Amino acid sequence: MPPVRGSRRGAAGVVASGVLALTCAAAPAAEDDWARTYFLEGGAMPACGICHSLDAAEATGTVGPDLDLLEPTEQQVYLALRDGVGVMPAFSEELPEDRLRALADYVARAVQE
Amino acid sequence: MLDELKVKRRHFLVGAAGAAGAAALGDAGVRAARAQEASGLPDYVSWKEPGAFIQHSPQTLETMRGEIGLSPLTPNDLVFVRNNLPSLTEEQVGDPEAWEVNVEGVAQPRPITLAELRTLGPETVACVLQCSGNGRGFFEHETSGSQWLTGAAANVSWTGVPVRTVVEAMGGVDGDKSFMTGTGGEPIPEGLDPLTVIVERSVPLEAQEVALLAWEMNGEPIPLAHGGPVRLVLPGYYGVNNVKHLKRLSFDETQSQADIQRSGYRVRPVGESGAPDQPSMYQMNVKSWVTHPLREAGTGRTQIWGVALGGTEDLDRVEVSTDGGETWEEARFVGPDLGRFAWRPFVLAADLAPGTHRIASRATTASGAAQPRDFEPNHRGYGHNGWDAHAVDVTVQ
Ligand code: HEC
Repeated sequence: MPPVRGSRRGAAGVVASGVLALTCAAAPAAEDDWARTYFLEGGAMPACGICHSLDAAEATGTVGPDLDLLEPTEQQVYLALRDGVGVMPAFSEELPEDRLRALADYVARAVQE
Repeated sequence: MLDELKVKRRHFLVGAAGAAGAAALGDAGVRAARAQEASGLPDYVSWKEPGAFIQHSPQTLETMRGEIGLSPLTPNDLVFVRNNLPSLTEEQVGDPEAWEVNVEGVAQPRPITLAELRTLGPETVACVLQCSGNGRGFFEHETSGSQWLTGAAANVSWTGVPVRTVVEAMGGVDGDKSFMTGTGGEPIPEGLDPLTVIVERSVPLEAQEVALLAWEMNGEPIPLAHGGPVRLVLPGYYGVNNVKHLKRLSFDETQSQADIQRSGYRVRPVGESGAPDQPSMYQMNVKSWVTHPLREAGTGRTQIWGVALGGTEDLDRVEVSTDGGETWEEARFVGPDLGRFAWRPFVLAADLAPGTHRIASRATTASGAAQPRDFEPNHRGYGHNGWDAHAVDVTVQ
């Protein structure tokens, strides 16, 4: 079970994660593992989790919006990563296109849980 | 889901480029509507007018187009919110009178408190506060960030002390300096290189001639959500340069190395990254938009309203078209002229026959700068002032 689902709390979460597992079976667990780790640890760029809260990753940053409240779409996350927004840096020089997509996919699903 | 959103966006931009309202704007509208359904206003802006905003994110609230009326100033509870970093809390600010601004790059550099700023000769200036990305949602290419339409703009009266007065009190600018830099007082979390997120903007030195260290907004202490206790106000310059919670004001030979200055707020072709050699979002351009009616009107006489700004210049005129730009008629300015940095509401009476009318407005400044029909796209979606995209389709029954 990928960590994104493993970290859920509460009964409602269990139900929701069941639905998620069915509808989003396409995303391989390894991708989610990578995305969650990257979210928390970053690379040469600062980690998403320093600036953002995301329950699924147990991230509690407060510089940028709480992603669980913002509920961005995949494309919205992707564009933020590709181009940056306000004081959020772009990640397109550090990460190739498929990693940007994997991260965006992970975040967009995690906030729907 | 993704494709559906994309199709919607395309559809609306092609089919109804004027966009009758936020809800009709595909991607942006869908996002905004969802954000707004979810909750009321965030705590730090709970004093704002409920129902008057499109919430793009907790830090970005857009004033709905129809909320702007014919009063020349925008009341505080209707002014849009756009914070690059979370707003300071009362606790973080402490006693506002003791708030200090460190002034550097002058002959006698030193911190100055709000209490002392009040003892220097105050002035009041009315000016448009507008986010660089106001109108971003009208561009056809995909952009990150809030998909603002018209509502990241307000007309505000600021009271404070002119920067030149402060500089004079400190012996003048020290040596040859080309930039004035403002730094915000937001705390930077550990583990981050401060230059990544610090709100620090450098503007050409000449901006000091018009700049104000302001503590009052429309007659009230500047609310924290709008950058109190002291905000750097730069009439004629886009919002980002008007640094909130001002902690430091310095005069420098070179621009700030903060990302928000180096690569942020740079105008470049679609697909390019931001870099210091590209134009920075400094002064605003001439612009106008209709605020009423937006969707429907009765038959007979209709008063068409809107607002127009000259950017940094006086306005010469605003024209309104009710046929999508085929023909234009000069509108009448309403209310007092608050100076070249303020916007002016305008009105045109029109007799509209049943059917759909495409209503557009086009402003021209005293020197003859006019809004273009279309505005050249740029990567981050800044500075849109094309009149066609700002037009509305109004149906008369
Ligand atoms: C240095 C701090 C910082 C880091 C690191 C960071 N962000 Fe952000 N992020 C922000 C800020 C600040 C905003 C709000 C931007 C604004 O609206 O001005 C934001 C906005 C966003 C948005 C909303 C975009 C929109 O359309 O409004 C998303 C989604 C997002 N970030 C995802 C991420 C992800 C995923 C990562 C990691 C790859 C990340 N962020 C890393 C600071 C950061």
